[in-house]
Amino acid sequence: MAYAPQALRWLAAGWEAAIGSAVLSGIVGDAAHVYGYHRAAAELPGSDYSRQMVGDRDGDGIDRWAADAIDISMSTTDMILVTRRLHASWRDPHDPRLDSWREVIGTLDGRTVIYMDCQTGKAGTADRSHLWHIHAGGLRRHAHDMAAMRAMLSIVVGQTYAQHAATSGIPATREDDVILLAEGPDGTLYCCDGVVSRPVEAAHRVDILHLARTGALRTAAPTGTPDPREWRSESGVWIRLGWSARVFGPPLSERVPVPVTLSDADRDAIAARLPVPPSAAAIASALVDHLRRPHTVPVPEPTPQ
Amino acid sequence: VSDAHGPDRPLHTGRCIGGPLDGREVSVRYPIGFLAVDRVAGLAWLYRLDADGAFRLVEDGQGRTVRPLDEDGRRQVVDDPRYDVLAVDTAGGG
Repeated sequence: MAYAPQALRWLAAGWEAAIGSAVLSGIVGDAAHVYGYHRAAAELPGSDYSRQMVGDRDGDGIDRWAADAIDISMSTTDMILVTRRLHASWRDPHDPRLDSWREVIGTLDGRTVIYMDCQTGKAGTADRSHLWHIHAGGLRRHAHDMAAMRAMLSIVVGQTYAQHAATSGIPATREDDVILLAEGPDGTLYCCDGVVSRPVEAAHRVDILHLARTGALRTAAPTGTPDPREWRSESGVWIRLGWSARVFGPPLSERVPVPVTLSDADRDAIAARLPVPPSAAAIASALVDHLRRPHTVPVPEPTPQ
Repeated sequence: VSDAHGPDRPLHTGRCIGGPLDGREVSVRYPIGFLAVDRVAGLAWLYRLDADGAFRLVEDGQGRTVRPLDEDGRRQVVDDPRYDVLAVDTAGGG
């Protein structure tokens, strides 16, 4: 029979401690419950939807007897509050806290039910019992994953991802793969990586925004309340205003190498304008002196045959 | 417990009689009934669906309908997948 992992019980305790009206309603489903994450994988047919995703299948490191879903009942006010927090995280492609979860169900208005698929990004609905309880189902291989539980709890209590990251040791941004979309005064969009800015051709602008919106391209977003003088949202993607080459990096097109032929005078002129550390200058000077000195090469004596 | 996939499970809807949810219509997933919990006050009420389709308060062995929110008892209900556990909504929801 399925059992409730300690990690999920920990999450329930934290949820109850943070939200005044919250009360754990259940983790393990009853026998009449013939599908889904409240049942153990071992109790369900391989065709069940909760055994299809990467992270849900046998061989993905799952605990075949663990239930991996939680129901938390709350007052209508708290249902709306917490569902809105979860919804904001679910919609934010730069917030990975629901990446280990499969689904969340709740209500944004106390009247309708929203289903959020955390793996596909699709929304739907479910039965009216979700007006009084939030359901969260995790990918099965994360049933004992405390990082996944802490990530969920941080959303529930109202932390931003940056706040969660600051207290959990996770880099708030992955500097190596996050780019900044910035817009110049003439409306040109640039992908900036901190070194250079790549201008986006007008015909490709919609593609870039689509990639950013779906999370395929990780783009930077403002923290806290964005200043409308600095940020604007286009098609659900944040764009930094006020691009300049000096601040955001020169356009890549200016960095395309062009072969040139320099005279000795050009080289000397360029070298003279380069700041050279004293130690490097001393080494170069010694090297030049050495090369300018006449050298003799010792010739070995012929070996008698 | 529930999720959005698969066939919808029927909900059991009835009007509550007595207790903090008196007069309220509630839809739950299990035909036996549900536990209403006010964690802040530390109190709980057990409602059971009767033959009339109403959720009536269940008395304990001493004739009381309100019971202290005993953690062990609550865990038993939580771990018994035949009951829903609802939060009592002091703001008027459910």
